[in-house]
Formats: sequence, structure tokens, C-alpha cells
Amino acid sequence: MIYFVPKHFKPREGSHIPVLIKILSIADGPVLELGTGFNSTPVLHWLCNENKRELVSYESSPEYFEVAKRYISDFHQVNLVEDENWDTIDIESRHWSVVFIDHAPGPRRVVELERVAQHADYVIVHDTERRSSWHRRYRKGFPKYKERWDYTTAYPYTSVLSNFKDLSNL
Amino acid sequence: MSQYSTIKAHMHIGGGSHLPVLMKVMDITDGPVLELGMGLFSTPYLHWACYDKRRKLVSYENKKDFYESFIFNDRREIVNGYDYHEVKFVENSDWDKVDLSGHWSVVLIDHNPGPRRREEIKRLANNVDYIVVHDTDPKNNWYYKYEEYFPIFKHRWDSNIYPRTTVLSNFYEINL
Repeated sequence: MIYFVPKHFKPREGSHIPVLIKILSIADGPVLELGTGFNSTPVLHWLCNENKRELVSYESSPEYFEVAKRYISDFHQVNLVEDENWDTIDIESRHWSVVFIDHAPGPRRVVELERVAQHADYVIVHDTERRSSWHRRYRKGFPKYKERWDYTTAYPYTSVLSNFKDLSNL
Repeated sequence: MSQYSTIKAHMHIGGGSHLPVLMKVMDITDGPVLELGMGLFSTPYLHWACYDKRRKLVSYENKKDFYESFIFNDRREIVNGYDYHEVKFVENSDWDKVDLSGHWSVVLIDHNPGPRRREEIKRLANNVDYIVVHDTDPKNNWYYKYEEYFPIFKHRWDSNIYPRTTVLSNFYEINL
């Protein structure tokens, strides 16, 4: 079988994995993944599999969707966002335990960051180092949250945001 | 030049069925980790699972194109310090020459050719706390012939996800 995969394994593309593992271990409700990937999707899928925890993934790239849809199961829903029209997805009508934001195009991420601010216990965003902010503009969305914790041990940085949980113990 | 390419790889629906087992075993251990056969799922996970504590991780791969796809030379990542993770190429698929000495906390057995895997299981039987073996479904035993070597372990645990993963130990009971 032939699959679409990265030409090179770039460790930095998975620098959010330690944070995903940590946050999923302290939270236990439904999980939303915006933007699938070879690093996040398998890890989230198998972390949620143990207790059949609900996981909903959205992807706008048809190539990535082809890979991610192989994870569709009774607890894991994978959806294609056609024409990168992220406005059409319903992510505000319920409360999420964890939201992971890593979708394309990059400048769009801040829109979803603001949309889920009052609808998620923990919001995890990748690539939050200051040098990337010209592209992803996360910092415009950070003031929508009361709490923020930055994982700067590994580059690129990953940040966790919340309006509901105390992040000082992470 | 495109950042992506195609590669010949076998991936079952919901690929990475050994990941949940690896996650549990990594969670209950803290010593050095050996990965025999790198993969799209195990390598990124193990790399980052070992990162925060700089837990020793050694990965071996015998397929040149696959080995070369796992490069650690991005200068932007120098600050991360990946010295804890060694990646080694197995020339001519000669696994006999791979030095497995020392005591390992966790070993993942997932290398090629498949029928070779049981030889490393036997070599490592008394110097590993937990051996995690992928693709242990009975229907594939004609190829891997694992079952002949599993009895040399005192403890065994099988997952219920296809393709099946088995954990073996001569040192600890296994309750995952």
C-alpha cells in the first residue's frame, strides 16, 4: 500500500506531544482536534481509545483527511472541512474538555482560538513562539483567556489556555 | 520542492495499534528504551515520551530510505537537545551485529524482516524489564513464529486490538 507521509520526520512537528499526553491525563471529557497530523491524531486516538472517550477531528486537506479517516471508529469522528471553510463547523454548541488547535491555514487558527474560548476547559495550541506570531497571530486571541501556560522546554512552543481551569500546577 | 512524498508503508485501519500498549508500558517505567524497527507511529511517540526526562532511547532501522527519512538535523531544533535519542542504521539487515548488551527498561520489537524478530526476543529475554512485540496475532504466526519463543518468558500479556501487541517479561507481572 502507498500512503502520503512526510518526506522527513521532523521531531519539532511533534513538540506538542508531551503536552497532549499531560492534558489528556488530567481531563476526561470530549476532545476536539482541529487539524489532523501524523503526530497528534494517532496519539489522541489511542489515548481516547482506552475509555472510548469521544474524539472529534476536523481536517481541511483532502490528503490528510484520507489518512485521518482511517481512524474513524465508534468513539472517533473524522470530518472533512471543504474549501477550508472553517466557519461552517459547529464547535460552539457544546462544551469540550480539550481542544487541540493545529489547522491550516495558519492565520485561521486564531479565529477558532477565540471561538472556543468559552466552550473548552483546556485549549492547546501549537507553534506559539513569538517568532511565529506574524503568521499565526495567536497573541491576538490570548487575551480572551484568563489562564495561560507555555511549554517552552521544546521548540516550537506549545501553549495551554483556559477560562475554567487553574493552569498554575502544570 | 514538496515537503511531502509517498512511501511504501503498511498501515492498518487506525494504524498504530501498539501505541496504547507502549503508552502504558512507558508510563510505568523510567529506564532506557530500545526501539528495533522505526515507524511512523512509534518513533515520534517514543522520541517525545522520552524528551522531558531525557530518558535514553536507541532506535535501529535497516531500511535505508526509512532510516534517512528520520533526520534530526534541523538547526532550529538544536536548542531542544536530542542527545538522549540515538538513531542507528543496521547495515545489510545484519541484526546479529547490533549490540543489545546492557539492561533495558522497555524494548519495542517491530523490525524487518518479520521472521527475524523472534531472534531478538530470545537475545533480549533476560536483560529487559518489558518487551513489547507488535503483530502477534495467531493468524500471522506462520510468518513470525513468535509462539515458539514466548514460553521462555515468565509473564505475558496480549492486547485486544488488531494487529495484536504482546508484552513479555521475565522480571515483572504484567497488568496493563
